[in-house]
Amino acid sequence: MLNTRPARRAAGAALIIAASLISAFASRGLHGPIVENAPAYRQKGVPGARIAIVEYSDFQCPACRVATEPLKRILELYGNDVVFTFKHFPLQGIHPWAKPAAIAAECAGRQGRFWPYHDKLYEKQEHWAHTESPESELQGYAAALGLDLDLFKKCLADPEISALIDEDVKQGNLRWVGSTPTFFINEKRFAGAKQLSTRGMNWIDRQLKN
Amino acid sequence: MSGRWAAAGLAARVLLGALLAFAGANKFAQPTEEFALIIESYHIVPPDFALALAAFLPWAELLLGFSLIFGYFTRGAALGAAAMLAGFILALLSVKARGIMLPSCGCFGMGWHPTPNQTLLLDSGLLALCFAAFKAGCRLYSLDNWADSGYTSAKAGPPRA
Repeated sequence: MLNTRPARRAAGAALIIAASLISAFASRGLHGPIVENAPAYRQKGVPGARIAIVEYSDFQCPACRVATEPLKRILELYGNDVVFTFKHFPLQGIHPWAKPAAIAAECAGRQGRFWPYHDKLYEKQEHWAHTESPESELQGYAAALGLDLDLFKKCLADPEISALIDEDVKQGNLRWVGSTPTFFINEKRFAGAKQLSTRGMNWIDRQLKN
Repeated sequence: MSGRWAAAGLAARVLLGALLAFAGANKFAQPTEEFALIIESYHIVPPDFALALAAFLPWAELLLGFSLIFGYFTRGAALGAAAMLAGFILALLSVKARGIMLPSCGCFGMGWHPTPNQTLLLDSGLLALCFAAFKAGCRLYSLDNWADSGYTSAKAGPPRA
């Protein structure tokens, strides 16, 4: 049957196409979901939920502040179907206080108050983001939230915390995060509050239907 | 052509093909939009064209990769791979010349993240493999040889050298 050149050429083409198709489809789930190694205090929702939302955010970025509202609505709306992870992505070139704020939020997290501190940073962004140096504001928010200030100050100077944030930035770079806020919902990218609340919600609905 | 040169050609085409297929398959592991965004970051093709290119390139890499591995139209596949690699090298040089900082080349999806400089070295090495694969042709373990040995068709003529 395969004893002529055209037949063998056709069989060869079929083999190449089949190998390509098999590789393409087999690799679709090759890497699985990307494991976001954020500390537990930066996660909300049910671990292992069907919808995994990861946000790369910068506390000094106004667009990130705007995105907190639609994100809150999504977390309320989809409840137990969602697990949310916050990742730091301070854009240090344009936001000089974004990293100190991220460090302060981490230190609040170490005392179990990451989310209240996160909300406070966005709520008061206009105040601390435009100061000469936001240290007193950042410590003031910690005091207002009832954190142990001695521990908090010690933590601010801890190089491990800074390294943790750098690691988030590194991961963001590997995922080609170019702007904040960038959301990944079950690995699909949505940049900004508008995309999150329109295409992002449609994507969640579709994922839940499947 | 010596047997040693033919063996080197076989090794070159299998290694080159495996790397191309690996790069193509890894790109399928992420949504096409993700690869399109990487292409856009190079600022070479218009954004509207990036998605089409992102859909096309992984298939081209897979087809060329497997063609080289199995030795199917070996010389054509080696030329195609060389053209593609030359394009990648030019794109990386252009990005470097314009001072655009890329976190990685983006050429292996989420599977591997070589820096642009490492990729320039790698692609240059792969270009050398293209040359070896082209020069050696399809003498050993290739579909080309197998196809050409089935020349019972009057139209097909005798096997090629």
